[in-house]
Amino acid sequence: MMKMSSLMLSNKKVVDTEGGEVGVLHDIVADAGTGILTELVVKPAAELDTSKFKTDDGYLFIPFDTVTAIKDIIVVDIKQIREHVRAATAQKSVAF
Amino acid sequence: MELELSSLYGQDLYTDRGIYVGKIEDVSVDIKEKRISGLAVRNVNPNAFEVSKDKGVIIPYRWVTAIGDVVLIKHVKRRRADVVAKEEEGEGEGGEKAVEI
Repeated sequence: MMKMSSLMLSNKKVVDTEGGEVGVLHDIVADAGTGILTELVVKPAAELDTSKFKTDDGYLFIPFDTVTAIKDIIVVDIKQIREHVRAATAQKSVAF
Repeated sequence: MELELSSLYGQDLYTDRGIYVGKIEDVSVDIKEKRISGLAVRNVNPNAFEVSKDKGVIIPYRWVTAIGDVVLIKHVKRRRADVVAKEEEGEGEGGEKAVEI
């Protein structure tokens, strides 16, 4: 079953590939024109170190590319997330 | 333009000719393709789609032409959901169709 209800996905637990709890899914961001899913918006778990993530307004923004599985829980590739954040930080330092 | 899926819930859906279609209740996503596959619509206007009472339809996302204060889809002649489904199958675009739910 590849088609899922987005309502059913919200509040699903999000964990990383190293077994760490990331949080619960709050929302999904998509490109309005193409419908391509771009990011997960995750409410971080209380004890999570959010410094390794892109954050905004207390929520984590995780690229949809890093999702490795969506079943009873959502699994995201922590290595890919770190690479994305590193790339974004590098871009910022070039810009300034 | 970026869009949070939750912002679609409860939005009114019209055709680009101004006909009310219904209210968006849920968004169907294709996990494998990583894209929105359709909009689950309730409170369907019987003048837009002929569906059984208390049933909804799933509108293929590629019918969507605009998302603003309301959502617009391309105009389709009033027809039964299963008729739309049959016609859509012929187009072979990933089996997208307006299905009664």
